[in-house]
Amino acid sequence: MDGGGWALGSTESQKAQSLFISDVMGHMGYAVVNVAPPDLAYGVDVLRQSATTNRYSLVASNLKRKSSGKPVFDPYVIRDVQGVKVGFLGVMNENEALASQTADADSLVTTDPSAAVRELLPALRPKVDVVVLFAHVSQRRTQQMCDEIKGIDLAVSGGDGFVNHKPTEVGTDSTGKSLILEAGQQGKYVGALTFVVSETGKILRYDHQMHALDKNVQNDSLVALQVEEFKIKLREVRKREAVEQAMGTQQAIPTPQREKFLGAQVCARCHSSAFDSWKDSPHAKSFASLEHKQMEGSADCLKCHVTGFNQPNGYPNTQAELGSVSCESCHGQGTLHGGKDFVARPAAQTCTVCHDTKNSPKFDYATYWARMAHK
Amino acid sequence: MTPVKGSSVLQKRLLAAALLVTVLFACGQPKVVAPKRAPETEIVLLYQSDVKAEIEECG
Repeated sequence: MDGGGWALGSTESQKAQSLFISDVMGHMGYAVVNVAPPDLAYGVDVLRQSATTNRYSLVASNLKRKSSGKPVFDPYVIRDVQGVKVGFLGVMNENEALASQTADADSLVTTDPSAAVRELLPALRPKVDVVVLFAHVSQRRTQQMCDEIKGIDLAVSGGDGFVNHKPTEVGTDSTGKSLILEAGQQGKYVGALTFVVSETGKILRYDHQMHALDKNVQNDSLVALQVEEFKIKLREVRKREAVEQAMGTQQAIPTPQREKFLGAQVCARCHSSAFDSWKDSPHAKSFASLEHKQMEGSADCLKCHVTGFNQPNGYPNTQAELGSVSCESCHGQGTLHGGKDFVARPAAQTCTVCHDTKNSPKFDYATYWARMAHK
Repeated sequence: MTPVKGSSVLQKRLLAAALLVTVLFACGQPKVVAPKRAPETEIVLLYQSDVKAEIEECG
């Protein structure tokens, strides 16, 4: 089961990747999937179609049609697991991110998650032995819901990326206990909760393990094959996107800009020692590293692997040699040299535009600068 | 069974059908007995969240 938030974003390549992830979820036998705002990026119909094709159930307890107030997807789902009836509820933050992340934002509305669960539980609880709540809200809010609403056995929290190596227990034996689970993000972990249910539907005991899906875990051979095939299609999509993006930029800025990127060879005329330091550095080989992975068509990658990507007079809109992270990536356009906007000494913030936690998790300014230092 | 005065064949058939239904109802329908659940059932739930990630990293 999945707590939602599997879709990447709205560009063509992101959509292709997201729907591929959904296909793989189907292949791997996901049974029930919560709906979170990013998953609505391509519209309700696309999401529903993908779930149907991949044979998993969608649940969305607090997502409604604005016009009718009716649920968009099933507000709860019941699955029979070895004779035990398991009921699933799923909530997301009220109206959070819907407007910016959802194709059908104008026709959808999310209600208060706690109120939705309170309203649905009396109907669901008598039909099932165990209630699982997907809560795509902060873990603090998940805990608050479990504290205040009796009848939730398990809560899978999502949205803030925590990894609960051990479930958080909320409540008491007399008032009813809930276990709060969270398995991080980006598919880096999978949580496994083994629990024993009595004849009367009471959870007697449980065991929990959080598995890191790192290089020590062997790939599913069929999925690995599908990924390799998909990468070929993805590269084509990314190349098309890069061309369209470049054309869009050229159209959006019809007049030449005053400031220009000049290329590292121009800087080298006066700053030869700095140039010599740079030309052997990883920055100088940043485009080659993309080529090595056949990612040179990816706009997402190019913005941090060349100089001035898609900017006026930047890569690829100029004859200047900008196919790497060169002087002007950090110091600003060459024609700014000597002016007040020229960045003589770039600060850490300049680096973290690209060396962010996702792309460069080990980045440390002092350590990295030591490898690059030049005058 | 007392013949119903002036009854047609259709009425007699309807009466017979009604009696049959009544008898069946009185005897009760065959019951579907749910298989008894084991005293303890072990379930494994595998879960994830926010799995979104670029399929391929830049370099």
